[in-house]
Amino acid sequence: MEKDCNNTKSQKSVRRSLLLALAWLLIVPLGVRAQMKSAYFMEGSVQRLDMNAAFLPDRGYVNIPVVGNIGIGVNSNFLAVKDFLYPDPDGSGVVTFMHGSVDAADFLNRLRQTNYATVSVRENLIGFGAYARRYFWSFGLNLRSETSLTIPKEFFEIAKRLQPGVYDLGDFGMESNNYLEFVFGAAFPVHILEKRVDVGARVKALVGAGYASVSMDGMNVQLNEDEWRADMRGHFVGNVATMDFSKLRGPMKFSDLLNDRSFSGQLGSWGLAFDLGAATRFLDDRLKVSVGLNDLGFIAWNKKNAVQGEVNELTFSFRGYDLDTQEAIYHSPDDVLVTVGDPTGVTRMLTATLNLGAEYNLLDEAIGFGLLSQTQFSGDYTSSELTLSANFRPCKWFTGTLSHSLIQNRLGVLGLALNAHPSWINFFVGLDYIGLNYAKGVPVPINMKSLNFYWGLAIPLARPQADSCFAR
Amino acid sequence: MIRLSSSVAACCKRSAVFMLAVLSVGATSCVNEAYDLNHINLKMTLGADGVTLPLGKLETQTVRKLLGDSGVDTLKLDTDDGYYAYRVEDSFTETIESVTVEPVERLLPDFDPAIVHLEVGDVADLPDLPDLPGVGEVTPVLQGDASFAATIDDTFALPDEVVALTYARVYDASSPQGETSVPEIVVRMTFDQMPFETCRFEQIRISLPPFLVSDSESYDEATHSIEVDRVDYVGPSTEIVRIPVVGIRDIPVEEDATGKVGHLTGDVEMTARVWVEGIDGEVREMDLTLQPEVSLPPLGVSQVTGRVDLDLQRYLEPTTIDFDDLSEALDGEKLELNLVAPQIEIRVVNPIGIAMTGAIRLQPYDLAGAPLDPVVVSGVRIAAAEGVEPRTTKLYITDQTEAPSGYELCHVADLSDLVREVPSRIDVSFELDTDPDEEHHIAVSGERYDLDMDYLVRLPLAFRDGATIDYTMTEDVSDSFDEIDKYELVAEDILIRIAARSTLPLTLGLTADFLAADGTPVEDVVAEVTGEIKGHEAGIPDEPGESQLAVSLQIADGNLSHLQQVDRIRLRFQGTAVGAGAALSPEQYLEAKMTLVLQQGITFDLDELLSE
Repeated sequence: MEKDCNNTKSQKSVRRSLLLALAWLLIVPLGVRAQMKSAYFMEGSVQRLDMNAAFLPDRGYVNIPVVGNIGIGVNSNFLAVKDFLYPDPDGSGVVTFMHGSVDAADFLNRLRQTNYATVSVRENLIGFGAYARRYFWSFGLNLRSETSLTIPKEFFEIAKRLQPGVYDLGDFGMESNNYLEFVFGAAFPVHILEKRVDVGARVKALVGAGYASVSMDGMNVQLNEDEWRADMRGHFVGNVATMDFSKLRGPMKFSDLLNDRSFSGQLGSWGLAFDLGAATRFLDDRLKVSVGLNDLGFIAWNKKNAVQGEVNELTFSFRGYDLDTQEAIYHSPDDVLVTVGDPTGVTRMLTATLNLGAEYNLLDEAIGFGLLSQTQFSGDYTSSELTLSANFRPCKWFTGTLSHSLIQNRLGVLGLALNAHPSWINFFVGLDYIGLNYAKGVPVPINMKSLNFYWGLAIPLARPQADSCFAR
Repeated sequence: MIRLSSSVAACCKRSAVFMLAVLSVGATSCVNEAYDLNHINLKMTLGADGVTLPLGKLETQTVRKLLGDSGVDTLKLDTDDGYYAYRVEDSFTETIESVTVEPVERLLPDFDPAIVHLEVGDVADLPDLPDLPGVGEVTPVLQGDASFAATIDDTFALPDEVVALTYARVYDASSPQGETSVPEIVVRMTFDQMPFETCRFEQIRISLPPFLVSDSESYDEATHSIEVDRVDYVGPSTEIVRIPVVGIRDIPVEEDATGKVGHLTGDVEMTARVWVEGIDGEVREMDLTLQPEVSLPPLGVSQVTGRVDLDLQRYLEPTTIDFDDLSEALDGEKLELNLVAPQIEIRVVNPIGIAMTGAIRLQPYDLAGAPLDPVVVSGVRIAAAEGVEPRTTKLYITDQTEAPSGYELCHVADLSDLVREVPSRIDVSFELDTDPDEEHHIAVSGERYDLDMDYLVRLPLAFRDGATIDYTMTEDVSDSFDEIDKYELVAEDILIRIAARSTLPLTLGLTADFLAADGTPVEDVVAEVTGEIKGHEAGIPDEPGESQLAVSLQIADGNLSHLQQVDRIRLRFQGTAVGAGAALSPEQYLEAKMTLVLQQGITFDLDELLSE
């Protein structure tokens, strides 16, 4: 018997949140990724809940503290072994891209104009979820960290070619965002036009742990016959919980900036985010369609724990040798000098993720073929990935998925996830990127630009009652 | 035997497809042998398509700065024409020992007494008969003629240098007044007895030898005699006359066992009429013995005029013109500059009345001290002093045809050969002699004569038309490449580009040789230089264009470790003067910018680099 769990008020709330989230996309967002795409269609996994708030697991769960749900990912658009290491033309082994045998044009063509690499970590410290009444409630305390590095293509061009010219390396940047996430979620089925639609929402209270950003406003490198010169200027922003930088003002050495800080005891920075999701089925439940919008929110970094300033113009130059004194005419700053300004509180958007998934199942859901579109909205760029997956459910307590992500990876990179979820344990392990081509000696995939690893261990709780609104 | 539960077994059956798929994936996974990460070659090449980096810049070096930094203080700016000249000046004194002549002792001989026969003379012959007692009374007056003669035949020592003695100014060597004293011949007469009351001498005539010179007004140069009208005899050793002697002349110079001597020969004659009166009795005639005395003090010789043959080489020692600071600045390297000829001014103050003629020999030495071809300045004449006043002779040695006012021109056509190669020093030898046929006047002071000389050598830094320069310098780089082999650096086709701008009046080319410790060229390191630094003709106002030099450095296999064999780098600059009269002025300059081009980049092993 189906129970009508449609909550009009909740639906309106969800729509309003979505609109607000779309509006906030105009503000510079920064977010944390680390979502296991291969797990999206694995109903028994706990990890898929992070990708769509509407997903209802088979059972409740209690994550093993600290080690119950860990995800580590490296995402880049240029870091592939084959692009930086090449077979040694003189024999066995490999040479770096800086070897003379590696054609400069060939190497540089493999890079993007702006190259980025991001390391993200998502660790669940505490997490549990359970069915109660007409809702599936979930709670979690996560530690989320993401550090990204942006390297302009000109940097590699200088290193490889060293040709005379003027190079703009202003896209150099580093950013690190770290915060605690208190998650409270609820998911429940509703009926829309007599169609059951599972909807869910999660509210995340965020506590900023630390934020750092260094970006080069200008980094000009000039190589010519008279002088090799690099002029750099930039700015930095930092925010560290419980730290007080209020006594730091004006020009100083960067090293002093790092050392001369005091403990304030104030956490200061907080944020709010939402996950919204919906899932439904068609074609006699063979086609599962879902949409999830995650990390729609912000963190307001408090100025009490903030420090920001300008990196004073740094100039390095080499102009050859003074033939009179026979000494190099070389200039470099004695120290990195910065000018610390008045800090301001900054509100930064998280990197929102939009997951659109569809899965067609056969043989009573023993096999399903899924298609997941994942788009992430970051401040500097927007990335999209399309993942095909073959999901195998030979029995109720085991799911295995083979996936392949298009766009960023060429053929030869697959994902694999395994989830064993009997009544007494829920174990998950997965990698979205498994190469088919490995290097010799050290088993590093040659063609992959991204990789991730997920691990989960949880204690299953009770299933929803058979007569509840969750039953199908 | 383990029995699986039915649910597990069923699950495994159904998992077959999945497992098959996983295994298929696993089967198709492969290890790419080409990517053996056990062997990662960290050899890196920077700028494989060629890298250009600044090597250095020679800031604008003006000639003023170059010469100022060179420590060559003797390079002065010639304010007349605005160009530089190397100036060396010095003075020195050569001491010549004076010609000394020993005093002539006892020149005049002793006279023998003579008997004067007196007999009554005619009173009429006594026109000025004095108030003699008894006049009017017939008192016999006796008269007679006295005549004396003696011969001088004496010698006195002369210096060996004296060839002929025309005149010698004499003084009384016994007088405390020294050379200002005038010796006198004193003639006296003495009768051995005086049987008369009065006596006088009249018509006294004294003839001296022609070699004696007197400035007495009474002395007759033509007859070499002096006449005295009358002298009354007043007693023994009555002075008859004093004859001043100022000199002796035309003395034959002879050589005997003792050396050079002056031979004095001649006669001294005296005649006089003697009148006596007041003789007791009727004496009509008598004979008296008259002893003349002619004395002359020792004659010192203060000046001589004659011909001498001085051995000037004994006195005139060579002097040296040093180019110490210039040779130090050049650091001992050979430098051919082909400069225009120097101008040499020599001023000689000659205190002696001897003219000197001959030549001046200029012997240059190269920077290593080896003699170069000498230059001889012939036809040199140092004028003799006039009297006691020294005389100054100014010589101007040049290859030009004119000398400045007041200078005597000593033209040497090939004088520029003296500085074809920059010398470390020039030895100046005075090959002078006196002319034995020329008469000289010498003050015989007994002191030494200081021959003062000073010279000025002005060497313009101006090049002859079409002159070439050749300068070689060697840089010691023995310690520069000691550790280069640690980094296994490889760089082929190394090019050093030099862009230079010069307003020097020289077009310069460069060759470079890399030498091992034994001085032999290192075969594994060869440099080839193309291009030259163009010179700029003086007087052309346009700014000079930029010249390009390229030094192509070929190292065997591009292995920079070969540079360890290099102990020295020898750089040879060869150039040609641009324009006529190319000279160096303060504002001329040279500036250069050097660029290093590694046409195939530079390769190094990062592993080796980090391990060091």
